[in-house]
Amino acid sequence: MAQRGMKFGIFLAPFHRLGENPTLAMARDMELIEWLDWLGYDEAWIGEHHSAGWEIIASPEIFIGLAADRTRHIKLGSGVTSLPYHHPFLVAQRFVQLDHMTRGRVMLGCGPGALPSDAYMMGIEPVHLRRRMEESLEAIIRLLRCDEPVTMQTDWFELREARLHLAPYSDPRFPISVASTITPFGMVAAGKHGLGVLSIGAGLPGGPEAMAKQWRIAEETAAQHGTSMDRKEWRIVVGMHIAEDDEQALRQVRAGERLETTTYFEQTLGRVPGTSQDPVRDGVEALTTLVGSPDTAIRVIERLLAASEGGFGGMLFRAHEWANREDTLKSYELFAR
Amino acid sequence: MPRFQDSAEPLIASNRWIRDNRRRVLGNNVEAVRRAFTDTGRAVPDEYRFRTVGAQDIDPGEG
Repeated sequence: MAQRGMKFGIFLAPFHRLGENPTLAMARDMELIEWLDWLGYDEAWIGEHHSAGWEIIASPEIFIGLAADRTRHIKLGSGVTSLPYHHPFLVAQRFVQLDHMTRGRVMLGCGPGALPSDAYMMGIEPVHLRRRMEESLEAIIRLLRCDEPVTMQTDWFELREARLHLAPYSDPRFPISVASTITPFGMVAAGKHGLGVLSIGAGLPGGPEAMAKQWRIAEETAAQHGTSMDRKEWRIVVGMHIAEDDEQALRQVRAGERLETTTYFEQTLGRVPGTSQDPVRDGVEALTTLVGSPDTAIRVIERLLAASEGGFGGMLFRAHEWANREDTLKSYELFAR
Repeated sequence: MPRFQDSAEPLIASNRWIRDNRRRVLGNNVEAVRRAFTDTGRAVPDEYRFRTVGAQDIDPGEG
């Protein structure tokens, strides 16, 4: 939100409750990014999902293309592109095109795929997702170097003397980050290639405690592969809602957060229910949720920075509709002010 | 007007399909998450179940 220090932005899965008009929901997502651009936020990462009814954007690339035309400054990333679902050549080609069309405002986020139901419909077994992501990522990075033709064969894609006919607009290429959720896999993949990290798991139970340990995995892997990790390219994802005071903020989100957690994450996606009687308030204490006054937000961010044992480069607020539209937009403004 | 124009219906149907077939559609994810730890030579932490999609339907240790 300035030319130095940490970057701030959103991680827009997005989450919209069932029964809503999806056309309007996508329009609200676009309006939110325009608002963030006006407020001076640094970046927005847009997700890719194909099932379960809540996360309704199928192509972050299409969304980024339109958002780039509606905004002036904000950087736009895929949060994330599920690499095992696509031929790596096409992923590379599309992001190079976006890099040109956005004049260097695009970023590629990579992951193995968050919803097992997406993989199920495409006939991909979950145990193969991470290996396929690793293979795809290697292919994409080699293609983006644009130095020599890439030939590579796996059990799910092949490249034969493949080269991009358009080089990236950004020099040497646009930023690439890897999603890290629960397992060490994301940090290992990032370390292997010296890439950025999107710590989506930081907002889950046990996430903040695991942050420093996870980063060490990336650094150790980088050392083994002759690359290096940059904490400035490490972004933490947490749920956020800011109001004038703590109680007001908690009151505004309580019902919406419960609806999302119980009907989507627990009843639909089968995540084990938590045991807290007041999950949002406890989440603030556990540093997995950032709900409260601006002062509370500052305190939580400072504690997260301490928990990371060395700092991180950016905070991404997980976009949600826990509160009503007006309070949600105001929350982003209060944080920016 | 989603209620009268059915614009939300496919989303509701997708959600219902997963709820009705959760163990079959999501269950294999738990083993994949476990392997992502063990394949890198790391122990599976106890709290992984609270963060893993599909874990509600898989007995601890079954994964």
